[in-house]
Amino acid sequence: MRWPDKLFIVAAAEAAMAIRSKAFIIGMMFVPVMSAASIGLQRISQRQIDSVPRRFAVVDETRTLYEPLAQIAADYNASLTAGRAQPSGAQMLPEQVQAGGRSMDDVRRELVARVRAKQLKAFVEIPADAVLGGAGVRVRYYSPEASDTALPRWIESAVSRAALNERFRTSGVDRTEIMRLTRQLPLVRLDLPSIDARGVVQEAVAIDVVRTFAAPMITMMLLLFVVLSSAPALLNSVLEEKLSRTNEVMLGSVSPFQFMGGKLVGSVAVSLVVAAVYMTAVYFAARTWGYADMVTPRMLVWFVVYGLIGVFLFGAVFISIGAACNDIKDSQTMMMPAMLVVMLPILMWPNILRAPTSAFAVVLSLVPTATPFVMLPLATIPPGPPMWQQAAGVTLSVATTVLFVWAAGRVFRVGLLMQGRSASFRDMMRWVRVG
Amino acid sequence: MRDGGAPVSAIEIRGVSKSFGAIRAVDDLTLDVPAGSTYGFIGPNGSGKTTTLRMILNILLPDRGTIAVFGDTSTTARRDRVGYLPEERGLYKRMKLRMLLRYFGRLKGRSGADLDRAIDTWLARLDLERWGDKPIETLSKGMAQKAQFIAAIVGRPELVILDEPFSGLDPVNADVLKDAVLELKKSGATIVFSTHDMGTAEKMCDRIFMIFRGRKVLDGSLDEIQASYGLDTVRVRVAGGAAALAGIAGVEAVNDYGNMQEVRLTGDPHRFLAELAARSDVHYFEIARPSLHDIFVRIARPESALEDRHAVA
Repeated sequence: MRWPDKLFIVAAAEAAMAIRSKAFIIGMMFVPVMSAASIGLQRISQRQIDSVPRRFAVVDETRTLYEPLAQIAADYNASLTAGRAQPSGAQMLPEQVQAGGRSMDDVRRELVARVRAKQLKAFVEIPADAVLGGAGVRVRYYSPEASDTALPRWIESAVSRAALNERFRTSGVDRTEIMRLTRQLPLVRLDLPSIDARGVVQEAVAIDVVRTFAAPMITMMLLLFVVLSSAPALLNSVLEEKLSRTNEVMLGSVSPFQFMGGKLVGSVAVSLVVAAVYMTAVYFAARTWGYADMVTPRMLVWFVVYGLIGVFLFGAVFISIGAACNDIKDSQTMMMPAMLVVMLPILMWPNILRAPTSAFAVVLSLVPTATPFVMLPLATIPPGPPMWQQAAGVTLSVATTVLFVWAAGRVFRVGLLMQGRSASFRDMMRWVRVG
Repeated sequence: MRDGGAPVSAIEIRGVSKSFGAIRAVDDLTLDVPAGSTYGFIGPNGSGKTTTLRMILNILLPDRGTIAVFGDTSTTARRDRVGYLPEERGLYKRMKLRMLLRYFGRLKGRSGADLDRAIDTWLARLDLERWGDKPIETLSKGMAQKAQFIAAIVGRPELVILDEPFSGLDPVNADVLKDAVLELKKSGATIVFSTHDMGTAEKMCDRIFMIFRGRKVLDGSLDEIQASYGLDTVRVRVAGGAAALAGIAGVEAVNDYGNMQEVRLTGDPHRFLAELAARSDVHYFEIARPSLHDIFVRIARPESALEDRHAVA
């Protein structure tokens, strides 16, 4: 029987076993369903209106700010219901508290009791020198509800506004003129204008946040899902075969390299199924939102290339770990560093996106274990990485993949029949050296 | 080596050694398994049987020496022409039985209707027809063992290696499997099996090989092996049992079966009979060759235990 035939028989059986299992179907649907659910829930929660009125006491030691503050609150509350059947937010209800000859501690005692009795959400003290604009002046806000950020933020803004108005008024300066003089010039970010065949420059379009930020992130996450849908499963598969002693039966018919190669190729087949499902879903979503032009044949080719590299590279790593371990606990411990390596580019992604052409981004895109997860999303950001960078990334990662598969073959051969204690990383390195 | 182009030996092992760390599992082993024979591998636990079988299959590589299967030292030949039932049974639990057998059959190069026919035949033969479309995890231990046996032979191998094929089986299933093995032999396959059941080895094997502490200590037909030990055994049934044998000159060891005692002698059996008759009623007396069990025990029993037996005698 020809050498590759057995490899492909093993691959077909492995893929069939994986794809037919309920765990695979649930696992494959889990990621998109959870992602969709999470986006949906966020949208729903964002639409939820916090309409609980915020009643708070104001101890105004300036004796000038409470009235404008009350007016700002009244205008704000009116804006909440303007043209709407339901208010679009929580009403702000300030209430002035006068000391009336009492000490400040007496006033605080009373207000603390009212807050505890739920009559008030909070109380604030505006110091006497608040209008002077000196450094270090603070409005003191007291509330037991640390999680409520809406009220303190509103008070800070409203008191500041009232204080500014008062400062302008007492200084005799026209605030409107100051605003005009100090207004900043906004910048609109546009793509390069296209130039038609007649040399006419077309109107440039504004840079799309979805294309610039969301598309690379979605591409990276998709690739991650594709790799994670099959590569870590190889660890469990090998470990299960060791624990159930199926490995020896298999080794009576196939060589360790055919066995491992079959598993890897089977795993690639599983990944391709996952990729096909995800990419179909992404294409229809993109078409719905007007981004179908982003799903180009070139992108699909890169997706498949980097997906194959990712699955082979990390599949070899996870297979080695499975072969080296003899119980589930040890395998989970050894799996942790490998998962960290997988996740590293995702953790670094915000820095890469901020400066895609920086030395950091370029170097990370050439680290073989990170190349698939960095280079592919970079390719979605126009104009994409230069050709030399992509060629170097593919060359290095393919070479590393070949090296990893070869090393995994040596670990697999020794580890597969090893019983008793699990091997350490040092043992695995020795097996790679000695074979 | 070859007779008219066909290899005489199914397996040729030449000077093979294998160590695991400081432990030498197999030490300078040379062995020929004739094609078409049934060869029994015996030996105590940890003596090197399974290591030898794994080296024949190329699952383990020898540190030294060569192994040829049907005259071919390539690994491909070994994997394609050999069916293997390992001691540690293991099958894909979630796979359906028929699918699993098809998988193993294809790995041996069989396919299509020919393979399906073979699967149906063996499922019927081993009374597993109804379980063909059931996952392996639903089979009982005995059924799973029969399924594993079919997986080993469904590729129609020329050499079948069975590591402890009958262990854990009830007598009915053991007989079914034994008949299946004999059928394979009739079809021309070479059978190698390891066993701890000396009775099975005596009855089924054309030749027996015993390995002890990694070294070959027996190799030959049962007759040849027993002949090498001579007529040094007598079986007796006497009033008073084993106690009546105490102190008789020439008694080297006594294996007490309760109603009968097997005695290993160094002296003249007739003088032994005369002395025994003088001290007790002798109901049965037979001069015999040692059983394979006795030979095994003589070789493998630790010295300390042997001394205990002398003490009984």
